[in-house]
Amino acid sequence: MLRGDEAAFRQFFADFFPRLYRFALPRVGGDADAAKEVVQATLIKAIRNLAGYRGEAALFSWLCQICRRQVVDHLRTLKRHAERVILVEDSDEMRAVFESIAAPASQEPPSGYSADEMRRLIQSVLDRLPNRYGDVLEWKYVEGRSVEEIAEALGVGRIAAQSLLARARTAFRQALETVFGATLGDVLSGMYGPES
Amino acid sequence: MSDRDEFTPDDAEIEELLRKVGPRSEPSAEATHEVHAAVHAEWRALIDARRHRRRSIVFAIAAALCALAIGVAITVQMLNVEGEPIAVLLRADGDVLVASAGNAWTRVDAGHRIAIGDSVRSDARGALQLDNGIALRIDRGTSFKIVDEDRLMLHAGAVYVDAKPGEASAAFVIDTAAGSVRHLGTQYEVRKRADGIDVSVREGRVMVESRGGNDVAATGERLEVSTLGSVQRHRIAPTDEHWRWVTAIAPAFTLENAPLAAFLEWAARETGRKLAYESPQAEALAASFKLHGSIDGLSPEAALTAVLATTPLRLKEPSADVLEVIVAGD
Repeated sequence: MLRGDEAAFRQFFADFFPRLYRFALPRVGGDADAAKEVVQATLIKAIRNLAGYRGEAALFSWLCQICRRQVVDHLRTLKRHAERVILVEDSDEMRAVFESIAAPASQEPPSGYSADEMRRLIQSVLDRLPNRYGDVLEWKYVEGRSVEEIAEALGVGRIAAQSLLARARTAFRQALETVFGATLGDVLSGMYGPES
Repeated sequence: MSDRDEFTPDDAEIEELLRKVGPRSEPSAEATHEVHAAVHAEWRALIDARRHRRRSIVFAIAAALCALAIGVAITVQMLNVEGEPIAVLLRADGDVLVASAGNAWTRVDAGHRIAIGDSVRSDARGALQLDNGIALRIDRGTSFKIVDEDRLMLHAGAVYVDAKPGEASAAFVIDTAAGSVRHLGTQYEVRKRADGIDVSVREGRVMVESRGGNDVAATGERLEVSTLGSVQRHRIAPTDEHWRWVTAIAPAFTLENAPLAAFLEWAARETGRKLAYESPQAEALAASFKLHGSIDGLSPEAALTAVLATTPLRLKEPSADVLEVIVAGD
């Protein structure tokens, strides 16, 4: 992208803008305009510092670090310290777990979340998966798109899309186990609450 | 085989969980567009600044070498840096302005050399010839920047590319905010719209890389590509009225001593038609018949009529989509 490749820029923007927006939105109290401004400032700051990105952390994690600082700056500007939103995924413990999604850790996972927290955590897991795995899983299982439609959206062949879906499923299961310390089936049961 | 045939218990659990969780929230199209524009502008500024710094380093090295050896100019030329001429303005029917290296806009005439890094703005139609063999035509109200010897960034208006099949110069890319267009031997137009681009293919195939992925357009197709990546496909005939502006600014064919066959090939290409000979005899006559005189000021259609009248060949049906050449009297 630093060589001026327009296609690389478009890929970068398409990959990270929606995920960062979802990252920022709950942290600015659900204010869509504020989330837009924070993410714009984040991406501009990231572009300016891209040459200094060394790859020690996943690119999305690095962008999230910048975004957190932008959220703090934004709230400070509005003098809304008291309204600052602290999410469960912002705890040091959970941040470490999210950082380890690319390489699952064996530490004891946190537990005991509300349904809303679980829903947001699972969506955060989708956003943290590499290679657009989160997108293809959502397209396939939430939107009901066919493999052919996914292949077309990604500009790849049908076999490649099937293979990508298989890898996405594996990565999603592993990431859930890392975050919740439970199998996908157990997480699913937890979503229905103790009565089910 | 449908993908439902491959549905496994693995899918069922994931599907149930993800449906329970629901779709992730998406930013609005307006917010996406606004942020994209702001971040893209920042990125372009960064890239330009890096190029400028890189140029400065290159020039510093060149200056140091100059003290030790001759040939710095050749070295700089080999590095293909900004300022290297790569095209010539062949023709314009009004004002064409060029700005080089941050300097003011200057009106240029036919014969002016255009270099990497130059910005071009045209209130008129114009025809350019790149050194790598590709011919460009620009419509009124067009502005673009030559980014590299095989790449330009289109900001407004329309650019028509004519790259003859089989020439070594095939690689060429037009970048826009809505996507990049690349091809393999073809005639096509990229026209900027407020919310995207139209890519019309008169001959050959082009690939459009946009936010929505990669799309290939073939002869007779027009793609409407939005800045958000949506693509709509339409039909456009190679002889459609849409191409009239391209024909109107076509550089003149040098008739003197040219074989009739070369002229017919040029006329067919300029009018978006295929060339065919009814018989081997007609083809042999076209190859051996030498032309004399000039067709300056004539449109390709008018030139075709005028030139053929002086030869032993005729068109079977002058208005057909195929230029079928026959021997007069057959």
